[in-house]
Amino acid sequence: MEERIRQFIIDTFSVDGQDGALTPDMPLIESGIMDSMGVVEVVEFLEDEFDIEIDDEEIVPENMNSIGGLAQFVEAKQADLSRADVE
Amino acid sequence: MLVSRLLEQAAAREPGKIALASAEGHASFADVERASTRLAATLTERGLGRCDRVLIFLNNSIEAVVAAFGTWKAGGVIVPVHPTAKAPRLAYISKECQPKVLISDTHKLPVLEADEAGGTLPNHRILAAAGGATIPSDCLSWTEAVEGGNDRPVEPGTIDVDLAAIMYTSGSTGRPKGVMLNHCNMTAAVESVLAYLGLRRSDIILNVIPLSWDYGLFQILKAFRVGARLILAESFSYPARVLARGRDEHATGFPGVPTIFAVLSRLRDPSKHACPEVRYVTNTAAALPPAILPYIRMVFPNARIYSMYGMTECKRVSYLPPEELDERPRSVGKAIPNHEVFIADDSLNPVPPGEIGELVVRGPTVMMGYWQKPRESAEVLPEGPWPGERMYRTGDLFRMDEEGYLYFVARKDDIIKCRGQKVSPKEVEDVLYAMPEVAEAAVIGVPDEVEGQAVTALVVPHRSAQLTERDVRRHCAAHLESYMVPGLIELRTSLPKSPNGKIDKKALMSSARPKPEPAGEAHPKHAVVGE
Repeated sequence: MEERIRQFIIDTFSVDGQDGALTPDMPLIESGIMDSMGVVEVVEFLEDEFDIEIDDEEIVPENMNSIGGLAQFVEAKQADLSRADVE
Repeated sequence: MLVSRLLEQAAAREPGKIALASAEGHASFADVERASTRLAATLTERGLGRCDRVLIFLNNSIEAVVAAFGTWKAGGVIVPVHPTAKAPRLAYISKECQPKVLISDTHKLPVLEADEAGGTLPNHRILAAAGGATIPSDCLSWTEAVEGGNDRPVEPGTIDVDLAAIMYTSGSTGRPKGVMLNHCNMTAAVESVLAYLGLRRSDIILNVIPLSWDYGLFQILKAFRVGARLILAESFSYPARVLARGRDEHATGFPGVPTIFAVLSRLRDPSKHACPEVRYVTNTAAALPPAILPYIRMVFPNARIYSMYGMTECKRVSYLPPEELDERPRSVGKAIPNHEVFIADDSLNPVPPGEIGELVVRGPTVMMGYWQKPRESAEVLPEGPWPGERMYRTGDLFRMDEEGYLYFVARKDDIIKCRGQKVSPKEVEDVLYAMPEVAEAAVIGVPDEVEGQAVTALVVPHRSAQLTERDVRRHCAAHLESYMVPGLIELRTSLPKSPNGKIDKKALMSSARPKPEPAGEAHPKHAVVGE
């Protein structure tokens, strides 16, 4: 899943994914890869790709600012959803 | 008056008042005054002379403000660089303006130490340690530069007409140019803007605009001039959080640009994040698409909205009084106080109302010129009616209505010539924005053998909007004259932006696909989502 997110970032923001510079912890905004509209695009991608719903309040650096963070966030959301299904 | 006086006067009036609030903490006027005085002493000790340049490569932060005022107090010239600049741009700017000192932070070390930057950056470097990082041994730490500095003000002998700032523009054509502003230009700009904005001591400005851009830099100058407070936010990437911060800190003002307001429009529930205490909102950089206004009103229900227009080369040209916005949503108003504008033909003669021509500006904010580019400067600074006066040719096409209100038509360079007719990209963009499914739109001219230039529309639909090229074409055909209807329509997930958040048309031009050979309408055009 982290790889799908990584690929989206590379494709959408024309990043060079080659030399391993795009690590899971790289800060996407500070490094200039993503700007404010960029975050919007990532949120839409995550919702469509992983079938989750993201609240405005969840659009925060902890969840959004690195590929690792994004992956963890999606996993947690999906876990919540499956828990909800069981209940 | 020197720009540094703005701070000195504010600190003399209300030393203990909180001037700046950032994520890292607060600083009072006295704090900023003291820190910048000490920084000035350190800079002078290290050899900074009158009118020497200081590269400031920092995020929006208290340090960035202190760096600017410290430089001015030492008689220096600030050269602020956008915090996300990469090594080539940094190297270009540094080679051009030959700064004596660089002020940055440890986060930026990868850029500072990159190959492309090697040998071009000044030897004197002051670095703020971000997150407890170690300062390289050949750099001075920010803490030392400020704490170690003398409290006695230095006297560099700067006067009003001395250079105060070089603001590099992103350069829609060719390489970035350094706009030279002296102290007169900058303080005159503050006075003119305050004359119509009505900023008060009790105001609290929520600022997400980079300080490396004059729009952001002047938020500090305006605030200091009246003794208002500035909240320094990094960016609008996390809108819910920024707006929550604005509410917590009781923000009363919000400067924005269309891309920021577009982000607002993509919130799931804009009114849930409303900031009712914000009493004014400003927009500049690009015309406010009327379709965005409802979203601004949802988030800022009690705010007066100022649609403005300006260029780094003359700070700001015009503003529309908020009460006129509903009647003339596409206008950018009239000249700011103490300035005069006219619409000129190619010989610089004024044209009558209704006719399109180039906007020319007269006033004290007109720049001194571009750093070491006398030819380019002369091209845009023709002599005014008085000897020695220089006016500024904006390179933008405008028209003025019977009552003197200005309407932007197109960047002179952007005008598309299709089938011998002139097409204003903005006019087509406005029509595109009127479709509720459209979040962003950009129209460019792509070279075409048959038409000269083909009108090309690049459209980003809203989340989960169902939109096809055919829908867009049908809408355009219904609202535009036939020669303006885009011949090529591409649906995209995003559009490239310049660091200031403006849609980067230059990048679009280079990535645009050539217009396909006209095939019969035998197979329907699918929505092309890519790039």
